[in-house]
Amino acid sequence: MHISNGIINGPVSLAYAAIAVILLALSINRARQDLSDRLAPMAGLVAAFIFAAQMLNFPVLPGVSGHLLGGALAATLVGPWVGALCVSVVLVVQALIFADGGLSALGLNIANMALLGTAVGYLVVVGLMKLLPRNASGVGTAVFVASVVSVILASQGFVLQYYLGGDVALTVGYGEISAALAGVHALIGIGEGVIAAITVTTVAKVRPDLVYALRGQRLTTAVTASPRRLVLVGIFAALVLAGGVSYFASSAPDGLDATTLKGCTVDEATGEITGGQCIAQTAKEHELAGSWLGDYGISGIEGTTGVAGVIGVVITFAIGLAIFWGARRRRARGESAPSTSETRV
Amino acid sequence: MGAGHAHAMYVHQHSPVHHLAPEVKIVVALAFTITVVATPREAVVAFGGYALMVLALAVVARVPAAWLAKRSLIELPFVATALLLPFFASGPRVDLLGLSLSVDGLWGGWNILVKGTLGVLIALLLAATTSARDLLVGLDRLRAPQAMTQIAMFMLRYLEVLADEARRMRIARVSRLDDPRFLWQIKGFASGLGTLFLRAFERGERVYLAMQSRGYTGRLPAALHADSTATARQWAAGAAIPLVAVVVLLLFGGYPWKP
Amino acid sequence: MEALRIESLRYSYPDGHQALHGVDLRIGAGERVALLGPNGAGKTTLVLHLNGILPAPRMPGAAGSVTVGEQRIDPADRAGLTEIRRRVGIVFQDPDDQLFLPTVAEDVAFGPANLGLRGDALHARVDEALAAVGMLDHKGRAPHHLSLGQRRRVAVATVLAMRPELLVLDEPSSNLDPQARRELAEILLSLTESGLAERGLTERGLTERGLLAESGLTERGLTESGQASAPVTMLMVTHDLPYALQLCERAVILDEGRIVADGPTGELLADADLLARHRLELPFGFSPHVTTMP
Repeated sequence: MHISNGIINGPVSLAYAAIAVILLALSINRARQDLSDRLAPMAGLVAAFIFAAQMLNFPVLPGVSGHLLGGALAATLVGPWVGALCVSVVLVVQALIFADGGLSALGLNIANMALLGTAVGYLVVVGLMKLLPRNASGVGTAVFVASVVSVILASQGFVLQYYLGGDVALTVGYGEISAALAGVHALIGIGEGVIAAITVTTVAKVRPDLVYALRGQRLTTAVTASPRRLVLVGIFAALVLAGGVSYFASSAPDGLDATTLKGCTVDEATGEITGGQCIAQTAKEHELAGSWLGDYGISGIEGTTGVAGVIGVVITFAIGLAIFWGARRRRARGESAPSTSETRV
Repeated sequence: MGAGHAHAMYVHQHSPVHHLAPEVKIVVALAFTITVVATPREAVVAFGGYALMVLALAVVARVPAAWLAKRSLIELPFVATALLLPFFASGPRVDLLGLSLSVDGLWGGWNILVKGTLGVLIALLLAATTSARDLLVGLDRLRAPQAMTQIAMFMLRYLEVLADEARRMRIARVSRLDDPRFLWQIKGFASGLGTLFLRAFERGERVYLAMQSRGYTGRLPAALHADSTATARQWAAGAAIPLVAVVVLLLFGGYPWKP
Repeated sequence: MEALRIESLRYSYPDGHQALHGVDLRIGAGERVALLGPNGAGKTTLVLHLNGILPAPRMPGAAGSVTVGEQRIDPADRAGLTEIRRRVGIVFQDPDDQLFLPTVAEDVAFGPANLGLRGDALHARVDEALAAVGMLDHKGRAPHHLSLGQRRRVAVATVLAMRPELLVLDEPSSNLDPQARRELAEILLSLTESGLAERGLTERGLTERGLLAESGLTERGLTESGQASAPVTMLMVTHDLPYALQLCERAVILDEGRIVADGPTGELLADADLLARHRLELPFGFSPHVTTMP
């Protein structure tokens, strides 16, 4: 998921760094209001939790594993400001101390994962909580949807960055990239959503007072707009960004044959899924996600890309809900899983 | 993964690079990276120059080449991106080994490859020669917001503790016949994560109490970080690196004022 | 002289659960007292009252008073709380909660630095406290590289560095192996038998006055160090009854938010009925009568 140096050009990277600095300053300010002088130890432990959660891989499909981004999860548990701050600190530490994610791309990564992901996740949760019951399963459902939406939008953040500062003009239109990334990230988002939902549900059952999104006054003061409108806006925004934008932005599509995709799979097979946003990985996971849709959108029927994106989102939502409900029941055994997908926890 | 991750990057050595003040190293790494990113992709010679500089720094810092090579695998996904670009990019095409490749795409792929690799190597050198604690002290001296450096400090301190707890919980789960495979484990995994959050949060509360008991009122005392800050000489020595890089950029960067 | 006086202390948590139902306790200067009691007796709640972390200012469920030396704790008085927290050092049960800074030395310096110590005076204070627990050689190490016994000793040092008059230990022997347990006992005994400051000074051959003058500390610092050379009073919260017997001449039993027994540790432990009523048990094969006091 981490963008490295050289993918986005200097000026755009710098502009994003400036935006990140300003928004982080705001987050620090608001986080202090939430936690006062408990900020450093509490947020530090939460950041350690997010870091630890990101290090644990989970299976997305047989042979493919992903890891949490944690934006929506953090926002639900500790609020948007502390959440954004914690995810940002994780990213800074990963860039400086673990050399993960380019130094010059730090602003880009913070903007996508820490700021966009957290903010969107929080807004969706707040909106949905107006409709759902204020209990463990309600907040679990809300955080599931919020995770999917926030992961998809974080990927769209990258598309925007590439549009603004990508060095190479592509034959594939931004619409296609956008749709492909949205499709893949809907899948990743479902994985993230299921885990985030169970995590939050567990916390909410034991200590509901620790779930920021369940605290009464916060919610009512944070949201002034009418609830129904907010939910609709949230879902609509997800659909627009995942599919609608690609519909309008789609230029003449060009061939993207399966051989390049397969070549990519081989290239990447050795690595863990450390980055979900790179185009190669996207292509690879997308193939696994459901190639008929991918082919449908990209194979060149003018104007259908956006539709494919929307369909992709809707279907993945449906699958996600199915998995979510499935996971709530006692799981049945008997299906063999490939040993390669065993994760290290 | 958890274990060992938290201090895996630091390579313990005594070298001039290790002894440079952390704030100098952070600024130098950032300036060097920005110079590399700002270099036009056609300036192949300039990139060669940067690579030599990185190599020389690695030798001076006594960071083993094998270590650097192994750690730079983190960049692999972006290598794949770079390999893919020649197929996707628009513009004039060339035939290479029977494949039709975009010229622009080839340059673009090269651009990502070379800048990404140099960036990772620079970041690795920084991480290898500076302990996590010193990096935070450096950020602090560079006037990074205290809120962030402190959060990072607590995070690094408790990462191991949390990872240990996660490991113990997983062993406890598996010991009671949970099957850690594929999707079936996701529920146990995620509720374990919920428990981990509870433990992290409650530990945060206890840490805060223990701090309060020793007089904490919201600021870490400045005296804690009062030891040796960078001298003017260290700044000068450090500045030499990005300066050389800028000279390389000006000489071979393909700018109009190229001599 | 009294080190601690607790008078009809009551406390209810915001969720309505009442933890303390009127606790009265007096501890003289230099005494070593064990606070015994089953789980849920209110021990931790009581400990958090000793340095003013509880109750929060203007809390409805709180009543009674805690006086340390001559100073009554007032949760609304921030400056007063700073002084209380210097005088009362709490060593928490999990040393990982207490040791949060990257190195041992930094962590031990945290408390005295909060009191305003700087430079050489601060370094001297850190060395003194670490020497007192035998951890001076581990100054530069990271807490997570130490064994549990070592971490607990460092946790004691972090509090000693503030020169407390009242040292409160929460389950100091839990999870320690027998050797670490004995070593800690020896350290705790040595601390309370000689005044901490005197011990630190003679060991290191430092002239405190000279150091303080160099660092420009005012008279407040000097009077503080004067107070600290009085014998340290110790309150040890524990389930480990043999440990209580070894370290403390006096014990009190807290159950259901009240002090239900108070007397010489040996006598309390010999009263099997009393122990059974309050869910306390001696380890198998242990007899309080045949054990000689250290």
